[in-house]
Amino acid sequence: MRRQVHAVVVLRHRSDDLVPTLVGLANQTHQPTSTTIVDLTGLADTEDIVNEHLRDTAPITYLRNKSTTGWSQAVNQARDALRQDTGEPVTAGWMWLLRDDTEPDPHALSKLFVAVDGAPSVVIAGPKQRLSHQRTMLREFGETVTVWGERQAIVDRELDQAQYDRMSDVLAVGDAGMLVQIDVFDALGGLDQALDPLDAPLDLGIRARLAGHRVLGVPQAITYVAQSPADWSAGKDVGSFTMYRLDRAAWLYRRFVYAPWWALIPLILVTLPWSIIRAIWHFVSKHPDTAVADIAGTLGALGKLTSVFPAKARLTASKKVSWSALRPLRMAPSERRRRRQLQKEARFAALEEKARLRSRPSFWPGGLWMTLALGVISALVTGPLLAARALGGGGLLPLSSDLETLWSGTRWLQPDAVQGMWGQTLAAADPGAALIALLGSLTWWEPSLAIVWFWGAAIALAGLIAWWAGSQLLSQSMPTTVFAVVWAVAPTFLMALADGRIGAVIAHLALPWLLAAAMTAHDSWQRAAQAGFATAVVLAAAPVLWPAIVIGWVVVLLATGWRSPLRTLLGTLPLALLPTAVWWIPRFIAPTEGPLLAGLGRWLADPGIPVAYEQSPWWLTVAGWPAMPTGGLFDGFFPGLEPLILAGLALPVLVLAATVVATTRIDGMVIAASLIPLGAMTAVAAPAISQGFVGDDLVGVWPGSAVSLLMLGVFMAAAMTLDDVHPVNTFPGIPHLARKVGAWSLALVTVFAAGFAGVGEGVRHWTGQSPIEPLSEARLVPALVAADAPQFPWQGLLILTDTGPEDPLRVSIERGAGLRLDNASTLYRQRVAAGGPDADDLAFIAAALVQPTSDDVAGLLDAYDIRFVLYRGDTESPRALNISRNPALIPASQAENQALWQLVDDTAPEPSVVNRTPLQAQWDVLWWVVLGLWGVLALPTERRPRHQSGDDARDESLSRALEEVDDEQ
Amino acid sequence: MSSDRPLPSWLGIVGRVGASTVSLAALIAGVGVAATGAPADLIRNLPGGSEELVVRDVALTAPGRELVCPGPLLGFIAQDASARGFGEPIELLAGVELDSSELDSPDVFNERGLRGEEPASPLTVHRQPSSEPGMGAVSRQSFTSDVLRGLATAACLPAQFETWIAAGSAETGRQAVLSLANPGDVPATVDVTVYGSSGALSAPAARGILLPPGTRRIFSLTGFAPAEISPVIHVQAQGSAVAAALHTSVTRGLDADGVAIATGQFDQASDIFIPGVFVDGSDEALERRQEPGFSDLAPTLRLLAPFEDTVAQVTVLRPGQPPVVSEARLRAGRVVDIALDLVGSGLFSVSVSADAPIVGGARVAVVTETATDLSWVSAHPVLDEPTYMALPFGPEATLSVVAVDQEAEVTISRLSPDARRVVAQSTIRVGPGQTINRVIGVAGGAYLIETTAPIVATAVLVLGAGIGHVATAPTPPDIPPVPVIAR
Repeated sequence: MRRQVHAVVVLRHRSDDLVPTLVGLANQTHQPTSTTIVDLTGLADTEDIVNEHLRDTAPITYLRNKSTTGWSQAVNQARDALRQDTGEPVTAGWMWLLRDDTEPDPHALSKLFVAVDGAPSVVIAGPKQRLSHQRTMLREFGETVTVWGERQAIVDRELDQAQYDRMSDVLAVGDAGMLVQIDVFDALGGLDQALDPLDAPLDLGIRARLAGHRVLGVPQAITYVAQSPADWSAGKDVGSFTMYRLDRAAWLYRRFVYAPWWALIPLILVTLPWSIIRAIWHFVSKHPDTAVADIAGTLGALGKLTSVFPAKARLTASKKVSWSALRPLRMAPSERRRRRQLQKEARFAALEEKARLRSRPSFWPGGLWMTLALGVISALVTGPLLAARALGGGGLLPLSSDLETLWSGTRWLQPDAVQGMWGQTLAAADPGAALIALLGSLTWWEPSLAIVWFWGAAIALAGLIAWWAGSQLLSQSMPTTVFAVVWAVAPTFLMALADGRIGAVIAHLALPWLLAAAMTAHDSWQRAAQAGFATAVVLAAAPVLWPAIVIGWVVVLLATGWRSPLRTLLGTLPLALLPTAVWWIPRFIAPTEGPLLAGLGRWLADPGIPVAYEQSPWWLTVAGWPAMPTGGLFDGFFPGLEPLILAGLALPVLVLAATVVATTRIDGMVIAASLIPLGAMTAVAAPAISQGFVGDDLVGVWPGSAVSLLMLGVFMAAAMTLDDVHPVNTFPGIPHLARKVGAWSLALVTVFAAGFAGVGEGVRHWTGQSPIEPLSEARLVPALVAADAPQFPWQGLLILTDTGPEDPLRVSIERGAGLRLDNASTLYRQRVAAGGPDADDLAFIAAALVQPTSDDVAGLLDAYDIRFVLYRGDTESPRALNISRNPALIPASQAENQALWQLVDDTAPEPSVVNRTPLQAQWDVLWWVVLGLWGVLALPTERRPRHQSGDDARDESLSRALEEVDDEQ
Repeated sequence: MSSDRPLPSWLGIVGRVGASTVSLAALIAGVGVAATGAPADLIRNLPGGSEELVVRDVALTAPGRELVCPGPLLGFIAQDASARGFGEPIELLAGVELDSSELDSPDVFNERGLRGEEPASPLTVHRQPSSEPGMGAVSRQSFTSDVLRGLATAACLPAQFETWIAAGSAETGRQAVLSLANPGDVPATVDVTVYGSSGALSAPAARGILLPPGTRRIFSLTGFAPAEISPVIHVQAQGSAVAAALHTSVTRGLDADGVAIATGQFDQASDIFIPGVFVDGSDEALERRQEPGFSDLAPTLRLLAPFEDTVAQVTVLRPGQPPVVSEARLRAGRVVDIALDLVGSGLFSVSVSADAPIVGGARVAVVTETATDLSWVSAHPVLDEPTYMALPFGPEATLSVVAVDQEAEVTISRLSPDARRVVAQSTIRVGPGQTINRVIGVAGGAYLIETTAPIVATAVLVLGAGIGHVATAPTPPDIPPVPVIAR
């Protein structure tokens, strides 16, 4: 009876490997005494297949169980069902454990049996596992643990060169093809079902060893295994995340079981904190998936605590030798380190191999020269502004004068800043405000100066960022440079610069960054986190792109991440969109009832100050012109034809972009087919989204940012066409020469046409057609008001704008040092045509100031904390003169077309600072946490393989070709 | 653990062709949809749409009415450098809910000040809320002393930012004291320009005169325009409106012979009307004018085109008689006095039309055997709303009315002392461009003048050898709403 072998086959998914398994079992030279099948497939005809292939073998016991049953449970069930011919339970002999993806070599059982037959101390034996689809490769052969108890395969995916054929004693063996003595199996308490799907065989081996038995690896016995235990259990490739989680959970569980009783509680208590520390480390090491998996695995292990106690009892009952007896069988730390190093090198080698296949252009010298040239162009275009201390006019205003004020309005605005539109509660600031504050902090001693410098360097910056982005997606210098140049002088960008549209300028700078990061986000977590930042920046600067960017992300992820949907959906996508979502949450949930204009403008309005524009027709939009050209370069020569000429100049790049569908660049097709339609549709729709009043009219959202998105698709597709057309190798011959000349001609035509088209917009600062004014001081309010602002930050400045005696008088209140770029609110800007809740009072104050009346407004002036009244208009007009007759006011200053009065009874307004609600504070904490986590993740600290430049590839190819010629000679 | 099995090559080819096709289709479809404008239509169909800024018409309560009375007549005593106030005027008011206050003028002493530096009687300001229908007030003083003699009456008038006073003289024996009062709550800065027969006179001291709120300052006309026979005084205030009046007195030899308080024309205009021009064509009067030092008894029209040369058509309107029309050439900034002694005798009115804005006034006089008195009447504002007028008891009052350009039916109502009831009423009809005089009598009191068409009216008061005028000022109309866009 002791020589009987009972085969146990666990069927899980009835994969293609089932039949070879059954055939292998049937063909064994040493036939098992009986065969027990545990069918977890839940399919009715599985038994027929089994019977068909095993009809000539030993008697079959067929058991069924639920598909969720683990391997250990199935084996334990099979063990309990083992019966003699007489029907009595089997109490001795051997159990040979197979899975339905384990094809045993015909001699496998024979060799195993031979190995254990003459060695009574051996109670478990395992065969050498090879990969079933690469039959010369070892999959696994024996298992051990590190000094910390982590499972470690002794052999892992190596070519079988008989290098392990002298191995015998091991700590444990894998589940596939394991031969285990039944009475010992019973004495050990069977397999621990809590360890499914990974470490149950290891645990069994360890317990057998601790019971004083031997576990043997039998190299002569061979099984071909298709999947790892985890994959087999799940019926699919589980991926690194699940694998790590399962591994971690199994290890921790074993730690609990193996630990002495007295150490169990401290161990349980320290497990989760330790796991969090490990998670942080994983996060810092750019492995956020591992960080999450670590915590999930820990929680999984803690969830199985109830199974720990019976397991410990089983171990205690069977344990006969001390743990030190296992020491020789454990993996030495040095060996562990060596293996880790080898794994790391192997991973890096794989990356290097990948990088070798993808060449990238070198920044030197083309990129550098281009940046310098664009720097000169940048300085030329913005020359009249460069001596200023601040910029105003158009969409620009000075910034707050100190960092504290600058940052105070980046998340929440005090009620006074929005005229108490929503009562005494903080109003959600625009996400764009933080970008402006960040920009202003670059010149912390005078934040407004940063805007001047930013404007002066914008074109060069755009070129530099575009060059980097191009270098991520293109392989050669020439197309990358073409992309960067046309991007930096794009009309939509020059228009935004001339109009002072800071949001559109930032979006234009950040879009290439976003594209490059998005297209490579599936490669690394670092890049995905970077893409998250890029998305946040673009959407903060140009909220109108929300729909387009979200759809674009879906397209990009479908195109690049379809091979690993789990990683894409649960990893890359959250990394890409979460920072933006968290940033926008306060803004999205901001109270939108009340006197706000209906429509999408309350969410999609441009940050900062809106500027009116004349919408261009769709074909001019597609040609890169979001609005009718202001520069009028060609209008003098060809009256009325300028739009047609400008559209014509965009033709070369448009044609080149469309040609990408005929190239081999699928990524180019994805970019063109997603960005161009999304950009075009958004650009056409944007003007229909009203975003508040400029003067007397509602103005639509600026379509320029959408045109930037459109042109990003156009320019990148065109550059990829050039990249594809331009020959990498410089072999002599007409076809190569033709391609080279063709590519260069197309490049030159594209660049010159783009440059020529942009001149009109580029010179607007010189021709006085730009509304931007260089300011010598960073303020737009009178000096007295600005001087008092730090002392009285809530002081009110009532501004009366009079455009003529017959025109309505305009009145508004500004606080502190007046409206600044960093505290402008798009939400407040959306207030209805009738104005905010205070509009009636303001109108009354204004009327009573400009017209003789017996109505007294002193009380209202005081109620609104107004300290100054500023009249803009003809200071000799009756309206202005009447203000001066108000006994509550004393003249403070007068300049051309404006006069300032200060209240006589100037009671300093009490600062009424409203604090954040607990919920608002929590949003802020979440924001900071996300920023911090993403910041850590996005920092490029990974060791990255050096990409070969296209030009290097060319040289290499040439030298290789020459060598080949030499060899032939 | 994942199986990185390579894709079959045919899948790559199919994928590439598929990608090209799908990309091209997406490109064409996307740009095509954009070209149709469908995305914009989609947005426009959402709730919202276009709005226009809301212009609020803010209706304010009109400012309360305010009349500033001239206070006691001002004049110089002997060689005294500063003027003094004489006596205490009698003021009579017409209107309800009146509130009166006094203006400080601490540096003005009364005539007895020589003996004790007593302050002069204060200047009075009468106020009425704009909710009430209107108000009128008059100040009257008559003198028979050695220092002053004659009747000084003047309507209390609202303070103005601009006043033109075509009156007075700075020649020997003629005193003229300019009173500037600021009844407002804010300081006023006043520029006084005196025009003479040879043009505007330079007087640095007359520029930038500061009048703190609620104060009055006085100036001798001689200081601004020494020896000027035909001055026209332009008072221009900034910051606060100012009530300006010229207190004049005449001394012939050693005898006091006439006093007057001249109020002004509020604004220059191309058509001006001066009612109540009394022309005494009697032989006695004519003889008296021939005497040395009495030439200023001749009725005289004083005109000035401040800024442009123009030709003025002067029409003397005579009740029941055809008008007398003549032309006068006015040179910019130069004052012209035109004698009105060949137009007959009676209470006339004068209308002057020109192409350019002009200002004007008239000097009239009464002559008796023993004494004379003169009075200055300025161009009057046009009335087209009910106007309240107060007349003093004593002098015989005659209302001189001119219908500006269309026939006017003028109702003159005598009101009860509290001005709440009409006691008596009469109506006169005045043809377009004609003048009519209606004797009111000596009873004085409160009157309400209502008209169906624009008129100009003044009351001429005669008491023995004294003459004075009580000008009418229109009740300020309700103020229009102010259009405001509050955002």
